[in-house]
Amino acid sequence: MDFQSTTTFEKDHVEETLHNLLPPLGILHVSESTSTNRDLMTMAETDAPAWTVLVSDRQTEGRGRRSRPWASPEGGLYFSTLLKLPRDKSPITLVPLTVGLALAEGLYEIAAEQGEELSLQLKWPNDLLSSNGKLAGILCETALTDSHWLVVAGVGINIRPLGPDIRKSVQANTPTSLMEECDIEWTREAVLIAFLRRLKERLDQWETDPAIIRTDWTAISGLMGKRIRVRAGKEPIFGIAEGINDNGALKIRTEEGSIEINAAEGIEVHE
Amino acid sequence: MNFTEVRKLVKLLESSDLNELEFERDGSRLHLKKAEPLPAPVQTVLAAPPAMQQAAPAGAPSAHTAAPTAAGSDAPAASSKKFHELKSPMVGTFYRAPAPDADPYVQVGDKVKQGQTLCIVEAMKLMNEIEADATGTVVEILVENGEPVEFGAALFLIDPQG
Repeated sequence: MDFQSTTTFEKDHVEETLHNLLPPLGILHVSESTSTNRDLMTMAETDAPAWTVLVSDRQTEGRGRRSRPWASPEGGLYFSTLLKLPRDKSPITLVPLTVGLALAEGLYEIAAEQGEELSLQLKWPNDLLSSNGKLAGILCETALTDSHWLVVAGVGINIRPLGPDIRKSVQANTPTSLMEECDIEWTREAVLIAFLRRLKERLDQWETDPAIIRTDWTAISGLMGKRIRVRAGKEPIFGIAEGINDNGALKIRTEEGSIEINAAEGIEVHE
Repeated sequence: MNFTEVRKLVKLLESSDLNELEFERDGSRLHLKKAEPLPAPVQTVLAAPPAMQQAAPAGAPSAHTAAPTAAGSDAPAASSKKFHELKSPMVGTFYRAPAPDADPYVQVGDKVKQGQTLCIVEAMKLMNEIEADATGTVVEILVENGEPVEFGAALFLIDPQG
């Protein structure tokens, strides 16, 4: 991790803006990280406080689910947030969906503030898509301690369009970017502020009334009622997306009956 | 009298209704007597092979006791060993490696230290690297790669003395 950043990032502005909303917020900005999730998890092991946020201008080994690479050149927002959540409240597996919901809502807010509308979908459990491709990826990693769940929520958002070389290297999901989707001013600081504000609200709800999270996630997902093909296990699953259960698992109605899945290699939507 | 001749005499006694047989030749004397009838054999319980052992259901006790290998005092010391169970802290899918094409974190027989990552359990793209909560030797991996696990399901058996 290199703490000498070369790109301007007004971390003081982010901290001051959120000062009254969040518990002590510590933002670290670096120019390069192998993976903000990996670095923040290391910091968590040495007792970094909750709501420590690590922002990097680029990642050299950005990764998604099952170590899939996530292209992280300058021009995007790559950060991880450290959360410490109660053990015996709501299902911890609903947190990745909560993070996706907060990110979608934060982006909606920024567009609305500038008089524009953004069209997004949350693909289960938390990929953020537009009709043109994948806009953002989220990877949450967790560890259970004696007193709480420790969660590192990593987010990668394409703000500027990716260069042609990187586009070619992306194997799954055509990438798109905020600037391509909505021609307004997008800054990393504004996106981070909007996301963290929504995340705090939504995590409070996760603790007290997780049904709201499920309802609102379902409304944005755009997946329910659609015919889908899920790659999970040895054989693909065909069916109609029905909803999510209390844990956040995807319910699918198949010819053999309803099933619930908690992990998938990929989901394709057939209208 | 050589060994072959003795064996022939034993077979002769076994196949007959006689209980005893005495044989003498060239100054050598052999006395054979059938054993007393044995009581009914004691039922012994053999240890199940590792592949047949099932993951413990949620809420199972944390210590796993190995099945006795044989009845009686001659059973090997290992039969009384208690293996430590590493259990899943959440519902999800079990992975033995960090990526589909990567080597597994551990194999049966590996020595592991407390805090060492042994597997990943994933649910809703929440990745949980499960660490060993005891130092010892991996005796058994109770779940197949890519299979679902319930909350509290036993994932590994670790021999703390191994």
